[in-house]
Amino acid sequence: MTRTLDDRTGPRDVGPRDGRQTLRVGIGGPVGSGKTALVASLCRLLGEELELVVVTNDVYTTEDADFLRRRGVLPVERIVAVQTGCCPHTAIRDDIAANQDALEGLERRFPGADVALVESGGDNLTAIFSQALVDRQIFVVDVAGGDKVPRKGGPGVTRADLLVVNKTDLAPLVGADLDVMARDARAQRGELPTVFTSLVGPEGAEPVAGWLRAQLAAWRDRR
Amino acid sequence: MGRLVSVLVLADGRFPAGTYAHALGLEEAVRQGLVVDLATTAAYVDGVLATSGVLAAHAAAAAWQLERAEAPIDRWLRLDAEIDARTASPWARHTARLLGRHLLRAAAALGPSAEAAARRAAADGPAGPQQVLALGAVVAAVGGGADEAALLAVLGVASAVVQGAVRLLGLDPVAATGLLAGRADHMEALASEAAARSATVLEDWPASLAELPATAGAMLDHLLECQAARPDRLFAS
Repeated sequence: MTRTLDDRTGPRDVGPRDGRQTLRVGIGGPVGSGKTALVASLCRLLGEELELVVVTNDVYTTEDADFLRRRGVLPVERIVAVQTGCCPHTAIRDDIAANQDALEGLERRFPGADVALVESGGDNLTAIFSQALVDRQIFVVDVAGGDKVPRKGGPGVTRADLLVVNKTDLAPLVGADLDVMARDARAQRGELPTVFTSLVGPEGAEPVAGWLRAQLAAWRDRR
Repeated sequence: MGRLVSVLVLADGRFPAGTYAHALGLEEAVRQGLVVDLATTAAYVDGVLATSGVLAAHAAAAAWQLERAEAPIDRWLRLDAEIDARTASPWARHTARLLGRHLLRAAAALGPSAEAAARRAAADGPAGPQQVLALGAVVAAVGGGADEAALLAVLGVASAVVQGAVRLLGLDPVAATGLLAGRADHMEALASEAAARSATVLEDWPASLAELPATAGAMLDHLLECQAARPDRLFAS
């Protein structure tokens, strides 16, 4: 078998374990890059066709969950907030017990859920989800954070299954060069995909939603 | 895994059993201005040791005895109820089982017998075991002593507070760890006493249960309830 860059993140090709029906997708990235807005957009775009549940890990705890509830994108009982004791990366990587407990609780209550989105608290470029917690992971950065972010690398940028470069509408305002970001992302990530989004624009999170649909189909095919 | 390494792994702050998100009411104490520095953190640690710490030590040691004796499920149920009854704050009871489920999950790392022990401590209840009971059972399963089970329980209580203070107040981590080390004799004495008392738990069952300390601290319960009501909490407890 030919080794590809995909091998770096290990069991991406592992299908549902223990008969699990729900694809678990982690969404990480720095503070303010648009993780919660992405979750809200995905819920709106996919809510009709897929059954969704959400776990949030925001450092301000229920703030993210409240944001999602206020926007009415998901019924309250489908969102669970987990506290991370000032250590957002610990909760998704080093000690995933609280998130596992939250996910298992949701999956028990909603056995038909197609996708569980696990939103990390905002952290730095080294944050990455444990393979034991999620089946796929998305890393969200934004152009306002500087166009050199993809070049800096870090496990979040280099290993995530999908890199989302958000807030492209701000690029001209902050002097960010999207071509440079695309080139650097390719250099850091090899064949792993990168998409550019403006969640406030007409296309919104559609590139991410399309990727997620394909991932769900592929994951189910492997069962 | 050998006994000593197993016990040390359980005591390691990096053991993935969810404790990093708990500081036993310290966040609320900081919010209320009760804990502001190293000295007030030390006082908080002493308060928690004298209340939750004592109960945790005796509960873990009693659980160790039940696991060691392969006690039937009704005894686990009874011990579970006794510890519940000594935990006034609903949030403390909720947290005890949350952390117990986390420990049950992580215990699998120490082998199937450790995981099975944690399950017995839950008395087959779906809500999971209380953390200190699971801890006592797991220590017994890996070959540790009752005194070690009690000591891990006490140390867990104190270090949760100290680690919380490091993160919430930015305390000097060396000075904060010194708070723990400075209480080594005290914590060992608490654990030894709990282990010694637990020796007759089964022999004198159920009268021995009445001898379990009921040392809940009203202030700690109050702080935990305030913490539970805060939508913006950083720590789960």
